[in-house]
Amino acid sequence: MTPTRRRLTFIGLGFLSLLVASALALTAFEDTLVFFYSPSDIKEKSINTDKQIRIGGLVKNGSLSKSEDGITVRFEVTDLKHSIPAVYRGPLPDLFRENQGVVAEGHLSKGIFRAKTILAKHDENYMPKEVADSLKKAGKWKGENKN
Amino acid sequence: MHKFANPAQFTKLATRVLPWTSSFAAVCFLFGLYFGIFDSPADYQQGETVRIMYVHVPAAWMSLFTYSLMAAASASFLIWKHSLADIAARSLAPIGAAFTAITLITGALWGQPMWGTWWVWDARLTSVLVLFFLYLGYMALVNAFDDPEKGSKAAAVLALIGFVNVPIIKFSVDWWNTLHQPASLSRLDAPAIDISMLTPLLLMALGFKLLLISILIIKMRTILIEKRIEAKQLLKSG
Amino acid sequence: MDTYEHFIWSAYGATAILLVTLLAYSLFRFRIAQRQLGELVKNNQEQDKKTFKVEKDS
Repeated sequence: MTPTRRRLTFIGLGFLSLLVASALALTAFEDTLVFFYSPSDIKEKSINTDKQIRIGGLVKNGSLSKSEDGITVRFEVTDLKHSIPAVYRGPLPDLFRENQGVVAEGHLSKGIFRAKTILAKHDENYMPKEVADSLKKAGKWKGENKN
Repeated sequence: MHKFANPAQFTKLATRVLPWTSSFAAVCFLFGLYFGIFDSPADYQQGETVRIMYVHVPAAWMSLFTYSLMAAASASFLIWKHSLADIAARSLAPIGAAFTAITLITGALWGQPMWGTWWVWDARLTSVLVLFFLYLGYMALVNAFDDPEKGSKAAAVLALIGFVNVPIIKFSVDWWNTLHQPASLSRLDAPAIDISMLTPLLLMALGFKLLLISILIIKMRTILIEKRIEAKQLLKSG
Repeated sequence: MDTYEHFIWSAYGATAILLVTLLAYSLFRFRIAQRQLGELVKNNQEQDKKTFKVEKDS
């Protein structure tokens, strides 16, 4: 083997084992790498709900309501399979609206999620308002058949 | 390959290419900025803030592209000992670091109004921060030794190890739940970005790429000249 | 949406500052290296001339 070939094999093999090692490590730590749990995760997996957690999903259509004091909001976080009712007091991000993604941080007590912070989650669609409107009219909107 | 690895040939080619890449970069930026800031619609959800995407997304693409080039150059330096590959990797690191810094800054400036936070520790944002530190680590390591050859080797190994991070960044939004939205362009189904917004995005991306090539040429030529100076001084004193 | 204008301008401004600084610094280093090399070559030539003259004179 020439020195060049030897270096090539050495680096190739080294890199390959590094890839395998990182793939294994990432799979092992999968549960700590997720930023939030979906309502289905909460219902189906045994997640410790005593400590502060983050749940994420869509704000269920028609579930958003403001209390009389004007700053407490109630809504449901849904992944279209399960949903969890949530309450929150405070300022809301601009993109927070029904049928949009949301990530709430707080804790679960008696089946109700008490959120301390609310983050809006944006989806990967970018389009002008007119295009969105015409898509909705044509019945080709992404959320159309889901609710 | 060997013709390209010859410094004299490289300088000849680079000198001829540079005026083209730099002037085309300027044209792309000019049109990209015009479309991006003035002549593109507001988004149906984000409103005007969508315009931040036209610098954020190209910078993010280029931060990954630059790192891939740097890793490839490092590998070919380690395997074939091409000094030109080492010079390329050394020149790419600060450019990539700048692109990554732009990605992080513009991302925070988009996140605050849209998500409601400057920063979160989700898989995408964290792995991009790691990328930034990989660039900084490369730049520190490459100059950390008295013997420049040793520095090149150590930094090249770091660049190769750090390359594992590139697919992690790319696929983090698909593998894990993240606050960051998934990719819009590599989707095969319905277009996720309207054509009126795609135009400035692609123009800016092309501008970034041409700027990368231009700065890379300038930096590589600088190092080549510095090496010649060193050689001449050594000759004189010896 | 006007309230977010300064976020947009900050994003473009930060990008411009970083890229222009990078480009300007690279060009600056290039110019310095080129000038140094030029001076070195000139010095060498002058020295060569001198030695040539000395050799001729002797």
